[in-house]
Amino acid sequence: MKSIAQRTAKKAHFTEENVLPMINVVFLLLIFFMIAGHISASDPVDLEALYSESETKTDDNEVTIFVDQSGLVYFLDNTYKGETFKSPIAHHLTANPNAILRLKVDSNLNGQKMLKLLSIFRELGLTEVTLVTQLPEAGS
Amino acid sequence: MSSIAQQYKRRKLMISLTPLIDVVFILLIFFMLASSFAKNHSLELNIPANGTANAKSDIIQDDKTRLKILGEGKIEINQTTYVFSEISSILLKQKNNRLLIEVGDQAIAQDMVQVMDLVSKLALEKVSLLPYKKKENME
Repeated sequence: MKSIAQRTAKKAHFTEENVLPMINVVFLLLIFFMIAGHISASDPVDLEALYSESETKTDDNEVTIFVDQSGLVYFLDNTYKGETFKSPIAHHLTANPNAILRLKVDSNLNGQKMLKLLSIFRELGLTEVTLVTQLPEAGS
Repeated sequence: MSSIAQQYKRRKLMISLTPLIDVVFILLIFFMLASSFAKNHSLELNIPANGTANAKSDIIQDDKTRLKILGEGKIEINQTTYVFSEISSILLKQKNNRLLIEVGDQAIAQDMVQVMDLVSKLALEKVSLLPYKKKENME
């Protein structure tokens, strides 16, 4: 008759063998997420992306101005209503004259509000702005 | 040696997988939550001058095609309303004209980007985005 210890050891060995395929799968998933995904700070507000055919790559480390559907502006961890974002952006541009500003707007932002934003940027001395877009999903 | 002691010795030689699985699971959950797969692209946009003299004189010299983005997929070209899919042939016919893009009150940012995409696809060169006009009832 087998001792209790022998039976327990056999059971443990049997369980570990069962777990091995799961560990393999988990390892594969881990490697996939480590290689395929990229870790970056999440946006301060949930925006619906602008879809464009443009394939120009963009540097996600540049300073980005976020504008939500209602026209609220998010810049460097602060939220600005109306035109109050003018002075912090002007200050940023003075401190970093070669700064490239990226503009990420909600795709449902009213066109007139967007034009108004652009005219304010122009007043601040910017002649060009980089709009952050995404490629349309296949089939859409 | 007793059989319990032998089992104990053998188990000590085997590396236990449980802590490894714990760590791997934690790493997996971290990477699943933290990583993003959305790739950002960019679109360079020249900001229209706020009605400066130079911009106006450029516009006056060329023949003009006036395009107004009405929103909901509708575009007005020289006072005639079209669906977005129809306008590329019209714009190609008037390729030598200066294209003035006006944004209607109902248009959204996506409509503007859609038109900009078409303009760059058709390789139109003389394109001007009309600047924001102040209205009294706008906030």
